[in-house]
Amino acid sequence: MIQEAQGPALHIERIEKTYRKGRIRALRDARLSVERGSCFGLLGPNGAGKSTLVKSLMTVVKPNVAQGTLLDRPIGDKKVLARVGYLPEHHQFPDYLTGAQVLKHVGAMAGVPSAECAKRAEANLRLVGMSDWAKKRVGSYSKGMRQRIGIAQALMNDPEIVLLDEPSDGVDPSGRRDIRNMIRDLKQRGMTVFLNSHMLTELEQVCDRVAIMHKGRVVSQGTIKELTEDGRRVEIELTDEETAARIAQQIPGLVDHRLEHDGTVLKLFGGTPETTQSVIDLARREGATIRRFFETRPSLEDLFMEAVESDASVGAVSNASAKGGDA
Amino acid sequence: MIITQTKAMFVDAFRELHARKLFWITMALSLVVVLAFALLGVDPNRGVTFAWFVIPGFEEFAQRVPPDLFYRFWMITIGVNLWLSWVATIIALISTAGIVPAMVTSGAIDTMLSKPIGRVRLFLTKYLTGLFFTLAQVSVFVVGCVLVIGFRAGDWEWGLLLSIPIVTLFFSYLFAMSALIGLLSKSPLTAVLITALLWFAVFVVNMADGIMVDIRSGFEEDRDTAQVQMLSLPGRIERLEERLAEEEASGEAEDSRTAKVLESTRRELESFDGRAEEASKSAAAVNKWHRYVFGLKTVLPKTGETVGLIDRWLIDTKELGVVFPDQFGSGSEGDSVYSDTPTTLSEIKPRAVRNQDVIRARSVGWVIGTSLAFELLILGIACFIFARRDF
Repeated sequence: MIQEAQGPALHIERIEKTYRKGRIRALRDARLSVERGSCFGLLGPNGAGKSTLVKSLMTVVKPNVAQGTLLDRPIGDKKVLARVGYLPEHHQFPDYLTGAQVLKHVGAMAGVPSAECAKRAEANLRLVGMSDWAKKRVGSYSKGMRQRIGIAQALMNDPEIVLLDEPSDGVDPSGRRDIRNMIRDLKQRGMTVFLNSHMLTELEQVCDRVAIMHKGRVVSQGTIKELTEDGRRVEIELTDEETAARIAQQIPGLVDHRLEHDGTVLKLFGGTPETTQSVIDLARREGATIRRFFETRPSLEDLFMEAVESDASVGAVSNASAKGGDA
Repeated sequence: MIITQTKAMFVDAFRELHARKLFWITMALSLVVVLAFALLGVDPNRGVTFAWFVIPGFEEFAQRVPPDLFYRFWMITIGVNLWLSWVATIIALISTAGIVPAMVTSGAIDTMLSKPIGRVRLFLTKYLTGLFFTLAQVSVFVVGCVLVIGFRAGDWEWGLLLSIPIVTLFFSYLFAMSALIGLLSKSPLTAVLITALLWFAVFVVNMADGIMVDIRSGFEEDRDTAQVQMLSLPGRIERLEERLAEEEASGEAEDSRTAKVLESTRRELESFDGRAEEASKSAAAVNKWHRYVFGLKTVLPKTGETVGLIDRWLIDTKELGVVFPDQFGSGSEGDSVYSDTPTTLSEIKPRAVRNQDVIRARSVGWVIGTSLAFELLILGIACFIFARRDF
């Protein structure tokens, strides 16, 4: 069902959701854009509004304001959902159904004809490694198996975009690796993947772009490289603390970058290769011995923590948190 | 797409019912009732039999009631009015009470709402799948009974198949309430308990209506009886007065027996007149209160009367007279001799006939229409809530 790319797969101009007559603002000023064929990760702490955002897109929750498009159709349009796959967080399938029956039922509800449903169910069960369990009841599945079936059902309508809400929730490390591989595979097939997770390493490994959400706002978004650019730094570790202090005093006049001096380590933030070279030349002139030299970037976790901890910088954010556990 | 989705929901409903043991237990019990019905026999020579045993005390009944009416009567009385309308309905309410709460459970509802299907259609289709339970149960039971009557009495009563939509309709009133409460509470237990409570409230109102109609019929019968009894008295008094005048003219009036009889007849007339007036007043007083009960009943679902439509359609008043001659009188055996302005005691309608007349005078449109209006209101509220709620 992958179609010719037109606009972005998902473009949110403005989305707002309040609960309890406006007292709780779960979503506010959430803007983001997801390119077709990309893997987009949305991360944020519990209560940030990630699930509310996804539920709003899937019409499970009715937003107060929803401006934007999903597969070129206005957000909230029911028909477009035939082209969207969705794995809800904490999903539940009836215990009396087998894995294959769940897939066929969900496929039929998405409007897929029964013959096609049977074929896709078989293929998707194979994709998630559940073929041997196809005829066993969901009630007998482990958490990881349920999660695999959840992913398989999200693909039953061969969607153009699939929204996976915490796909690795409760899955063991080997299962998580399998899920990452599945996501890469989907992306290779041209599918747009929207990943909602607080498993930062998972997002880091598979996503092209990420957005960080906090208290209902998207506080930053971009490629991981873009997001980590500001925090990129060169660390030069010398053998002598005194020499390091001397060099640190001279650097502000030499290069126009932020420098932090921590014992024998000089940290130069956002430096270009040229400015880094200048600092090394200075160190040589001062007779310093360089013990270690390396470039480092902040991890997604660092950015995440920074976003969460810099609550004040987010603006006039009320203390209200989103409804539910991970709203 | 609509057909694919609807079919999927019904297939899922069947699987859900299949997984619930209660469904098959009810089905098995229904078949046991049909089997018991098949073992019931009526023979003018032997009486009523069960398997090869003769049930004592029914010899006269077996001679009076023809086999086809016998089976029809027991099928409606025990099969529909007792088994389907009470026992099977209670089991069905318990079995289906979890359908809506299970659908709106967090995690399950997300998957359904994220599909290209409108919320109202989703809810109503789920509601219809709940009715599927009763439809399946009732169909098996009624078809079984029709076959029994056909083979045992040689009378193929296809009209009995009307019981299938009627009992399903009756259940739909209750299930609408159960669905709304299940949606609000997300608890099957709460849905069952509150629906049972509402059903009981409806039952009480219906019973109050029935009792008031019966009491009023009793007063009306008393009034008509008194009026008929005093019809002949004015003429008799006139004749006695003439005779007394003749006796007075002939000087035989002293210690006249005629005078005593005249006096007693006048007192009798006054007494009957008083009884008729008192009965009329009492009937009017009951009628006044009955209007309030009837008004309340109008807006509530007519559970009893909906199922009662089967009686109305399949057993007429004359046949009721054959089954219950004491209550419905001889007038119902042949052409009706009852009159609204009776001049003889035999023309006075018995209380049971009056009750039947009142119940049968209520149109099918009123019974089903007002009940469906209630059901639509409940479903409308449920759909409104379901369509607007965040999950």
